[in-house]
Amino acid sequence: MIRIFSITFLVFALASSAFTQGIQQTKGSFIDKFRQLDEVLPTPNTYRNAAGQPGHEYWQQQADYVIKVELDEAARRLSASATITYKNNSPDSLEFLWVHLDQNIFRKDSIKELTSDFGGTGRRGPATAAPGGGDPAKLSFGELRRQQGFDDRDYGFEIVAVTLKNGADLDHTIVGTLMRIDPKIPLAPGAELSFSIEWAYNIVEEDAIGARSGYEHFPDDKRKGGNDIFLLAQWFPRMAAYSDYEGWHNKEFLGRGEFTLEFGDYDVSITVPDDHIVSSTGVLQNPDETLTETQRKRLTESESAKRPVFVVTPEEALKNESSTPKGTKTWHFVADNVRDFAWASSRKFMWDAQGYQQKDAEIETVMAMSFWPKEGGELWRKYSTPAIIHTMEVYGRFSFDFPYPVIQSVNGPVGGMEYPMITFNGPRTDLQDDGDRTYSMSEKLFLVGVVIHEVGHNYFPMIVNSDERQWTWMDEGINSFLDAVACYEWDPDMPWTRSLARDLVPYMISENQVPIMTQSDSILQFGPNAYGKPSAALHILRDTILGRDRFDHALKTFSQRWKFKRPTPSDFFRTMEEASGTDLDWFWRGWFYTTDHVDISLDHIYQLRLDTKDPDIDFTRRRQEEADKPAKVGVRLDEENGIKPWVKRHPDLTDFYDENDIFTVTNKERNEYQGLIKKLEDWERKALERAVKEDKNYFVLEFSNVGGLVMPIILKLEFEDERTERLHIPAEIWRRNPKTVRKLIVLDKGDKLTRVEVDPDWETADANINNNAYPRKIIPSRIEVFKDKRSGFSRRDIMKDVKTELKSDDEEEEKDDKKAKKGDDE
Amino acid sequence: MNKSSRVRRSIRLLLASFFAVAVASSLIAHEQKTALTDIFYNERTGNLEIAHRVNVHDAEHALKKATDSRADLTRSAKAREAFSDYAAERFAISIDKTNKLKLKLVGQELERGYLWIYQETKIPSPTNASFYIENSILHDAVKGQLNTVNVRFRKKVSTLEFEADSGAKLYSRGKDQEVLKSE
Repeated sequence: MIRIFSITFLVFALASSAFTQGIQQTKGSFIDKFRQLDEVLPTPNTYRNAAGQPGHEYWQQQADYVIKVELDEAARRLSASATITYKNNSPDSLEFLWVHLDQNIFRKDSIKELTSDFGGTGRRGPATAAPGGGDPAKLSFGELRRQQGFDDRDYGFEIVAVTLKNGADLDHTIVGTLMRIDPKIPLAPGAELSFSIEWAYNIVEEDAIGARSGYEHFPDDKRKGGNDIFLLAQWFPRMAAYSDYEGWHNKEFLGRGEFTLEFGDYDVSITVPDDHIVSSTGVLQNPDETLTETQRKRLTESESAKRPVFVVTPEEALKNESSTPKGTKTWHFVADNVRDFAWASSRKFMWDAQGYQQKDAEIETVMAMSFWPKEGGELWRKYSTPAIIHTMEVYGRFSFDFPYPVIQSVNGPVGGMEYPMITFNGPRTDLQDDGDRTYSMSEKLFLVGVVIHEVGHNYFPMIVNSDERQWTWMDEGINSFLDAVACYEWDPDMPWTRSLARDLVPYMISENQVPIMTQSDSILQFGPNAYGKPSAALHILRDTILGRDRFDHALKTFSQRWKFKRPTPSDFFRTMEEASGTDLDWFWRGWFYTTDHVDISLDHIYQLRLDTKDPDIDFTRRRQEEADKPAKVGVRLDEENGIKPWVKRHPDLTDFYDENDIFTVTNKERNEYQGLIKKLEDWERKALERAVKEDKNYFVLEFSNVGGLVMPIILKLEFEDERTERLHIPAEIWRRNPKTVRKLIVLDKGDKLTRVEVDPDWETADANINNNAYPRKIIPSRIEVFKDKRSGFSRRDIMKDVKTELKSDDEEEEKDDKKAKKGDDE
Repeated sequence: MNKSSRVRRSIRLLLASFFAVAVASSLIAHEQKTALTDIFYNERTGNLEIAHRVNVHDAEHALKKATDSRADLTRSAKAREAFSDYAAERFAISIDKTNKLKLKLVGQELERGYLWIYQETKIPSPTNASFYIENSILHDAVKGQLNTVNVRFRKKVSTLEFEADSGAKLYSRGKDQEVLKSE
């Protein structure tokens, strides 16, 4: 009990201190939702300035690599050596350097393994189940396979040597997934250090361990012993980033927070079995030694082709699958100014290519290429390379021309992962009994979507180099926003869901969530937090708040400012404000720094009418108002019961008051009115006369902010003549009272307002639409709507169907599949 | 399942047959791995309404693993019904973990990239009840699958998260609870 209490208390204390940040409202309950982010954002300096630009003394480190690596296919093992040249561009002298050894996450004693909560939160491995509810603990076959994988082989880097150019040993200490290198003297500002590392490691089986790289085995291939696809990433010791805002980025790799590295030039020689095809970051330097003459010819042809051209055809790949290597072949790649390097190798790959032309760009022809095994089938042939090109067309408009000469999509065991110039994408076809390969509609959409997303990551964060380990949303959020834009432009009906504001509502009302501005490894509900919510926020910022012109200009400014540089969230927030000319601190505060959700309620509408002050008009109106009230119930019942009032029974006894009611105007009031008019200034009199003549309709709309997040109020006004009008009230209406506000709207005399609705197009993620319309209407629940819809299709007997067993009969499945193929099922 | 507490204490590892399908391709920089369930009491109809929202693509993979059928959920209503059955088997509401409420499977429908599955049950007065929820939808098919359950009661939302090892979790409204009964 005590422990629970203290933890709860701690969480509460942290939350409240994060919120106050030195400023405390100690009177009343006012919350300044528009408070500037001054105390929250880091102080601008000469490295990154107050406008969100790289400052005049901006610097970043450089790390260049020359690597020789050999793949041992049979042993599934890499051996390599690298010479790393590290250039210290910082103003600091560095006593030590840090290097990432990410493969060490697969060591049995890694922090990630040791802190793995059995089947618990954020776990990346196979399913397990702890004991509970009377059930014993469960260990899945997948988890067993993973454990056995760890038992059978040792994973992680085997560092053979770390030496200086002259061969002298360099002191080094391995700390988890990192290694510290200690030069004899500190590396001075402007100085360079060249050193070599030799290493080897056993490649993990991607599917068994759950990684961002690894091998996949195909035991059913005709070749004896089957085949493998190797996807190699985080495969070399990578220099940790050293930045002006964080110093060494040496936070342990725990599996979720991804990477940020330094830009540098790579020269990599990859030795593989001589029947393998290699896809890699960089440009192939020795096609004469690695490709056949036919392949080279096809590659040249593809540069100006309108459709992808096969460099390795499906037939050739199929033949290759059964080949036996006679030796090895070395593929030599060079990549300039990239922040990482990855590659893939297999004899299973077919390969297509098409040049993408960027007129007047630094790189005019970018080679878009895809590599896939027969398992990728038609799906890959039709859509992978075209999706790459589409991504460059769309992202190029929003950011910059693609600055690398090559961009690739490779099919293997990884579902979707990005590296410079190369992406790994998972979708596949299914082999049917008749030997055909088919794919479902959602698999197709997934392929297009994942290729766009991973290629899009080449812009964010491979070029706009944000720190994924700290702020996942900066690359995933911006990239999800743009992939949704690209998907809309691919096919507006594409059901790409996670960026649509309305789809985020369940997440945004849920209780256990953290603000978007949370370090990657600590995020709860990772997908909606780092992908969906920031993406939806940016769509709202673009289409609802800033408008496309201002938003697109601002995002492009951000992209170009930080191209090949290292932005932080504050650089993004500041640039978007500076370039759009809009104070957005309330928006960043609400969407990125809190867990508020949007729920604006239209509580009341009051109608007002201007008094003319003229008793002949106003008194008549009052009389009418009185007459419009419902009759007294007692009087009505008396009438119904035939009770005749006394005055009706004694008509002879009337007086003045029977002729004149309380609203009768006398000259006394008329004289007062004349006196009033005389006392008015000329302009006052004119204003009154005009207002009386126009007799406009005045409405006061009263709103409350139930969700807490301040947002613009978008109104649809409906009139008696079925006309509608839109009204956009900026979010600043909430600045002095974030809980309730009133808005006066003035309508012409003839405008008879019948209904008002908040957020009619569901564009703001308003969580509760039941309070959006006035007058209120009953909004049926989702299930009620479904039942209504269904009652129109009485062809199905759900009561009977609900008892249907889960299909296991092959025959019935076959029938079903044939039907589905024809597309006549529905 | 009628396991004794002895078993519970001795944390025996069990290979449950349906867990054998646990290996799905991991979709690292991309997949959502989240499913959502919305539970609320409809005072107009007297129904406790349960709506599950899953990603069609995730569901397809799950169904493929579970039944070895080549499911196209976008085109085949049969496949969607099969997945609804699969999901219904992996979701339960109970008063004491053993007496599970009979939930009627109302149906399913597609909404863009989502498949919605609807269940409901008539209950007399749930507004102040506490109950146990179990939700293992997709846990046997998607690594790291996280199911979020929002229970809405007037303006208050309570959220429960279900991961592979979660078992049954208690939804509780506070002190003066009624016991949930199915009619």
